[in-house]
Order: sequence, then C-alpha cells, then structure tokens
Amino acid sequence: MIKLDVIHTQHRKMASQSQVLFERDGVYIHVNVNSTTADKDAHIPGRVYLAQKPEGSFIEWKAEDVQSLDSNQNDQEWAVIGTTCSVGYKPDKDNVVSVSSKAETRKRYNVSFDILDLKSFKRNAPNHGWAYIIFILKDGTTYPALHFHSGGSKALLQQIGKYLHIKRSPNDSRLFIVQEHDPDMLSKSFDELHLFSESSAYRVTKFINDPYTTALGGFAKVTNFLRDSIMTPENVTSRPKEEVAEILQEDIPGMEISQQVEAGFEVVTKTKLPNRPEVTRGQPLNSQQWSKHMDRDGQIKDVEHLKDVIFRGGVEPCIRNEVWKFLLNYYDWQSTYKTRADERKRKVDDYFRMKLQWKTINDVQENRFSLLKERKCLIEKDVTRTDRTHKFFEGECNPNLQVLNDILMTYCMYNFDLGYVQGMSDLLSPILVVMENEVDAFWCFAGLMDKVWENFEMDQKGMKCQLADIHRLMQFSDPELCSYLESHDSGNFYFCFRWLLIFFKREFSFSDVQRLWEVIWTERPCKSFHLVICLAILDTEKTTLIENKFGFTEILKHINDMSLAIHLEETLKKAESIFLQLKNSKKLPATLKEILGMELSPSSSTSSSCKTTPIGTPINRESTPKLELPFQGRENGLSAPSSGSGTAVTTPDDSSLEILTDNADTAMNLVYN
Amino acid sequence: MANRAGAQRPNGATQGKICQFKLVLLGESAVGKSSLVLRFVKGQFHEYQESTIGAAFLTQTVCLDDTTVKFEIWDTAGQERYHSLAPMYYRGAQAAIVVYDITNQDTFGRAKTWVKELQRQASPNIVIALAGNKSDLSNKRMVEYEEAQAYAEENSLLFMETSAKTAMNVNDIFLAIAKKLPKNEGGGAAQPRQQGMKINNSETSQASEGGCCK
Ligand SMILES: Nc1nc2c(ncn2[C@@H]2O[C@H](COP(=O)(O)OP(=O)(O)O)[C@@H](O)[C@H]2O)c(=O)[nH]1
Ligand SMILES: [Mg+2]
Repeated sequence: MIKLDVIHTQHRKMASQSQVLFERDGVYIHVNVNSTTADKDAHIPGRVYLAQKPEGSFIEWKAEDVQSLDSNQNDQEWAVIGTTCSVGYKPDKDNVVSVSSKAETRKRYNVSFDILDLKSFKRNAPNHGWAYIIFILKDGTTYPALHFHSGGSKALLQQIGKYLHIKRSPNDSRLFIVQEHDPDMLSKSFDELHLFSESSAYRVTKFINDPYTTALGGFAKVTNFLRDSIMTPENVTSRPKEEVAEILQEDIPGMEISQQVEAGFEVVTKTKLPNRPEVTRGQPLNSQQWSKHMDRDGQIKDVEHLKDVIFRGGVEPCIRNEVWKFLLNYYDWQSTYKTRADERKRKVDDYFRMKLQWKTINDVQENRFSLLKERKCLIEKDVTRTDRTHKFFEGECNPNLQVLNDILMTYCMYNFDLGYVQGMSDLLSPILVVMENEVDAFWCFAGLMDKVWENFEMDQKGMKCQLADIHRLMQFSDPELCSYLESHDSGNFYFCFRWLLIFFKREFSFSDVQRLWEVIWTERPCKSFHLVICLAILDTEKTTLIENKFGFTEILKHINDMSLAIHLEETLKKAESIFLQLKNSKKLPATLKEILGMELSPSSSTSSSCKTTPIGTPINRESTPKLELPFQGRENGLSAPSSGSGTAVTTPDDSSLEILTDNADTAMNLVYN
Repeated sequence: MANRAGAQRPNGATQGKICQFKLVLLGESAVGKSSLVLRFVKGQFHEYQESTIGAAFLTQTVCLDDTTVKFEIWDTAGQERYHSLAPMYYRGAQAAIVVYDITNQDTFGRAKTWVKELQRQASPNIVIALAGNKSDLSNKRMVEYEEAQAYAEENSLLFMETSAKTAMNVNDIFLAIAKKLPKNEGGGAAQPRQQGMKINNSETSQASEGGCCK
C-alpha cells in the first residue's frame, strides 16, 4: 500500500506533537508588488518559528493575518485558496475580495523548510535599522528577506547554530554557508578540483585553447580548496558555537587569513580590466523640464540632453504617457503639435480599421480560420492571468481585461506573421496602465514590439543569440564567474531567458519595471544596455552562486526566486559602471563592441556577432518613418553633450592583458608556496 | 545534534533508500501544468496563476514504503512557439507528466503529440503519465474519460483525471509515478544532474536512464 505521505508541513497548522523551540513575532516580509498598493500592505507582519517535529527541525514563517483568516479551516490539509476567492466575488465585491485575495497573496509568502535543507543565508548588518535574513536552500530555493523589525535575528541564528556548522564567506561578509557534515569532506574537496577525474583531460585541452579563463577558474578552485583545508579544523563538532559567535560579531569583517589566501586571484581579476567607475543616478524628468524642452510649435529641443536625463533618472509618472510616446516611436522627436495631431488622428483610424478586421469575423468564418481561432484562445488564456494582482486589472469582469484582449487581437492583425506569443501580454500591461487608452497603448506596444520582435520568433533565434551574447560579454567582463557557470552546465545562460524575453517584467515591481523600461528605451549608454544589466545582476549574485556551489537547476531556481528582490537603482548603477569599465578597456574586442551596440562604423557590421541586423522590421510603417539618429550623436551617446548631472568619472585603461601573465604567475606562486 | 548523521528525514523514514528522479511537465499552454506542480509542492492553488516564461524548477519529496523519492520537477512553457526548448528539459528525465485540459479537445490532441515526441526522443525507459486536468469542470467536459483511458492503455501510459483546484488525484499521480520508477540499487549511472543541459544539442545520446539511488 502506498503511504500517502507528501511532505506538506508548511500548510498544516503547527501539529500538536511539534514542539516550538523558538518563536519571535514582528518579523516582516516586504512586498512592493505594485505602486498602487497602500504602504501598510507592503510589509506583511508575521512570526518566525523554530519547531521540532517528528519529521525534523523546521524553520517557519507565517503571516499574521493568514493565521487568523485561516482559523475556520484549521484542519483542512489542502487549503484551496482560489475557491474562497471566487465565492467571494458575487455578494460583496469590494469587501470580500479584498480580504480573501489579501489572504491569498500573503499566504504565498509563507516559509517552511527542514533545517537540513538549508544551504546558506544572507544577513545584513543591522545598522540600516533592523536586520534581515534571506534563507537559501540546497535546491536553490531563495526565500524573500525576513525583516526582524523588533530584533531577534541573532537569537534565531544562535538556535540554528546548534544544529549546523556555519561559516562566513570570505568574499561577502553578509553571506554564511552551511558546511557539510561529511566526515570525508577533505577527499571530497579534492574531487572537486577535478585533478584526478577524467574531466582533467578536458581541463587541459581547455587550458591550451583558453589558458586565461581556465586558469582563473582553476585558481578560484585551488584557493577555495586551500581555504577549506586551512579553515576547516579537524574537529568539526567543536566549532559551531565559535562560528556563531563570530557571525554575531557584527564588526569583525570576516576572516583575515582566507582573505589573504584569496588575494592572489583578486589581483588577477582586478588588473584585467580598468576599475569600475563610480556613477550616480539622477532625478526623474519632471513636467517643467519636459515643457521647457518644447518650443512654441511643440517641437522637442535638445533631444540628446533629454534622453540623458531620462537615462539617468527616468520620467515622473505624471508625464509618462506623453514621454513614452516619443520613446516608443509613436511620435517622431521632430514632430510639432500640428503634426502630432495629424499623426494621432491617422493612428486612431488605422487602429479601428484593423480592429474591425477581426471583430467582424463571425463564428462560421472563424471555424474555417483555425490559425486565428487558435490565437484568440491563446490570448484569452493569457489575458485572464496577466497582472491580476495589480489594481488596474484586479477583480472578475474588470473592463480593462477586455482592452488588453482587444489590443493583442488587433496586434495579431497588424503583424499576422508574428502573431501572439506568450510574454507579449506582460509587455503590454505596463504600457496600458500608463496610457489608459486603447489606441495609444496599441501603438506604443507596436513600437516596443518593433524593438523586440526577434525574441518572439518561431525558431527562438533572437533569444538564443542574446543568451550567447551575454556569454561572450561575461567571458571578457568576468572570466571567473563565466568559467564557473560553464563548468556547472550553465554556459548557455538559459537562466536569463525570462529576463530577456520580457525585459525583466517579472523581476521587478510594476513601478520599477516602468522606470527600468524608460531607461532602457533611451538606448543609453549603448544599444544593448539590457545585456549589461544582466551582467550586473549576476555580478551581485556571484558569491552566492559560487560559494553555494550551485549547478544548473539551483542557479535557475535561485534566479527565478529573486523576482521582486532586486534593487533597481543599485542594479542600474552597477550596470553603467560595468559598461564604462568595458568601454574604457583598450582590449575590448570589436565583436563585443558590436554586441553592446557601441560601434557604428559601417565597416564593422560584418563581424561574427550574433546580432543580425533585421532586413526591415516585419512591418513597414509608412505612417511613422523610423527616426535615425545622426551617427555622431549615437556614437558619443554616452558622454554626449555632457548632461552635467552625475557624469561618470572614468579612469584610463592602464592595466591590461600584457600584465596579466605576470599576475597569473604571482597567483600561481601564491597558491603553491 | 546527534540525529544529523542518520539524516532523519523526511517523515520519519530514517532508514531506507533515497531516490532522486527528474520529472518534466509538458502540455499545451494553460492546461494547468504550473497549477499541478504548485498543488503538489506547496498545497496551493492560484486562480490567476501567471503564465510560465522559460521554465521553473521545483522539488518535492514523497515517501513510498521504505524509500524516499525526491522529484526534481521541471515546469515548462506550453506554447508551440517555445517547443524548440523542450528537449533541453525532457532530456535525461526519468518521468514526464503530459497534461491536457478535459474541457478542451485541442489540448488532448496536443498531448498525444507530446507523447509521441517523448516516445521517440526521450530516454527509452521514461515513465509517462497522462493527466486530464480540470476535472472539477466536468460540466464543460469535451474529452471523455474512456477515450483518454483507451489511448493511455494503448501507449502504456499511467492515466488519471486530476484537478489542481480541488487537489483531486494530484498527489496520487505523482505517487503512481514514484511507484513505477525503478528503484533498484545502482540502477542509475551518474547523478542525474551531471547531465549537461545544452541548447542545440539534441543529438547527444541520453546519458543515464533509471533513477539514482543512494
Ligand atoms: N477549474 C480549474 N482551473 C484550473 C485547474 N488547473 C489550472 N487551472 C486554471 O487554468 C489556468 C492555467 O493554469 P496554469 O497552471 O498556469 O497552466 P499552464 O500554462 O499549463 O502552466 C489558470 O487560470 C488556473 O487557475 C483545475 O484543475 N481546475
Ligand atoms: Mg505554466
């Protein structure tokens, strides 16, 4: 007989036989799911537990409201959240829906895991007001940060320290890794060096082909190994208490010894590229600035400067619906009030003409038009599940869903060859929220699709190319991380798929996505800035990925779980400084320049970069001729007519590959001495 | 603490084998793949489950007599457009659940296509289960139970009608798969996750089949 024993502890109430060893309330999860949510909803209060259960020791966090809302269905093992929700719709829309859907959203955040599944955690220095802890499991699961508003994080970690042997990462003082308890840990470490396995042959060939990258990856491993053997005392069991004591010493920054050991390869990585310059972000473009940029006829003056400002700070929400029309080629930058009025009229007519084309197809026709019918179904399915937690789309029978649907159907007629592809509704939704108008949203969406249609093509070539482009960029910008990913089945960078396909739409809150998109649409400081943003996020996660020894699945899971936990402005700053670092490097290969879209000299367009210049976008929009910026303007796009505000300080590229061999030797000596 | 050595987990299965299997979910968009996984792994159901972009990875452990079976579950995007990425996920999988929506005949046709593709391209010993999901919507049923069952029998598939919404048969289908998977000692070659996941490389032979038991 099968024992129906799925491990579902997190959704049961604390069973009576489980013993709570530690609990603390005032522990919050911060959600900034969307900007329209009132502030009080952005912090979910809850309680953290350490509980001893028959099946093991568990760390749990439960939202407070959910506990009380739950109490009437206490014994129900499988809580069906959706049912309560849909029942609630009929009688009293406002009231019931908000309570039950709130419960639904909150419950999603509940945390529960066996302490033996813990792989690592990140704890910030609590001088930002309070401490938070991010737990990361062995399978890559990454929970949202638990914020200890009224303290207690130390006490919890002290408890955890009784079970696990924890070490602080030498590379990131906030990261703590659970050590394996394997008695033969040392021999395992040897295995990880691959010195004696069959893969060493592979390494050797690789070394010949690409000595630099391979060596770096190798060094990292050797130093890690050294560190492990130096830092791991014989008697593991006696350690935990001291280690925890050390964790709790906020002021002692990690372990000096290992940092010295690490120094060798630090030097190597750092000398390769020029420093990353400091950059600052600016204020969003406001309505006064915007109107000052228009002359009497309504023509935009000094477009380049305007784009610089938008790149540096975005656009204030109240003028978004105007500015985005320019960024998305709805209006020409050279247009005037007069030409814009004409243009808009044309667009309205054009839209309704195309909308009629599918609206007037009756059921009989549709039955013989399977392709259209298929797309109609697909769109319907996706519209009902796009951003339904956002105010603009929430609730059953929300009329905005119909608008979303109609725009996507009309886009099908506008670009039938491409059709509807999953992901498009995600791209449309923030635009519709800004435009609040069907026709305007359609044309802005069409403008965005002109930029990204290749991502949605049948053969997925556009996506594969971009993934390969990130790989190439990282080979140059961070060979160490690159070689780590390659040796962990992740050289295809497939974990960036969602980022690229829908431009980070699922990774940031709604308002952050709008900010990010307007920054990217300026095509500053280079055309493919979104690829550099990928590098920046991965750079932030580097220590976590490497020190947790994550492989393909764990990396993908960790990256997926980072949704809504990425700091936008920090990421943008880092991405720009990585860009400047690359740009300042004399050795930046032409192919990379081309991937980045930095170089526009016509002669270089035949190089091997993946990027194919489309021979005309799929649609010829006679009505809106594509605006071509003058060459000059784009080439200096970055430093162009210095915007004054926060222009980066750049350092000349004085260290480069030549020195590298020397440093590699030094590193080698360091390792083998 | 003392009990660490014995790895006392999960659900008190102190002794016994631990098997790890890779399972992939396939099927047309919006048939309920993500919902089935969410139900199985977290016991939840979201009416407005957002569409899957790329792929998601989840794990869940079940106990089967004295064996602990750990599922490594790949949930994929269903639209035809993303078909070319599917082999990356089913390569090396020991089990697959092909899902259709009982209220939509087309999704059943698409499920058959997936089964054919798996039979041709996936590991030869892959355990395939067919799930007729949304069984709670029987008033809108378009695919008859008997029809699907007959098809499943012809192709030696496990078959159940499921509902991610009411949880009906969700655990059961995973458990039935767990039961059918080979759990013999040393059945598998290398660790399943050693296998590379490479785009554009579907020619390479499947490295290992069968589970990996320790
Ligand atoms: N009534 C009902 N709806 C379901 C069931 N499973 C999924 N759904 C709904 O079907 C839609 C698509 O589900 P999803 O899991 O995203 O499908 P996927 O695209 O195959 O992953 C969502 O709106 C779900 O709420 C079910 O068993 N019964
Ligand atoms: Mg899905």
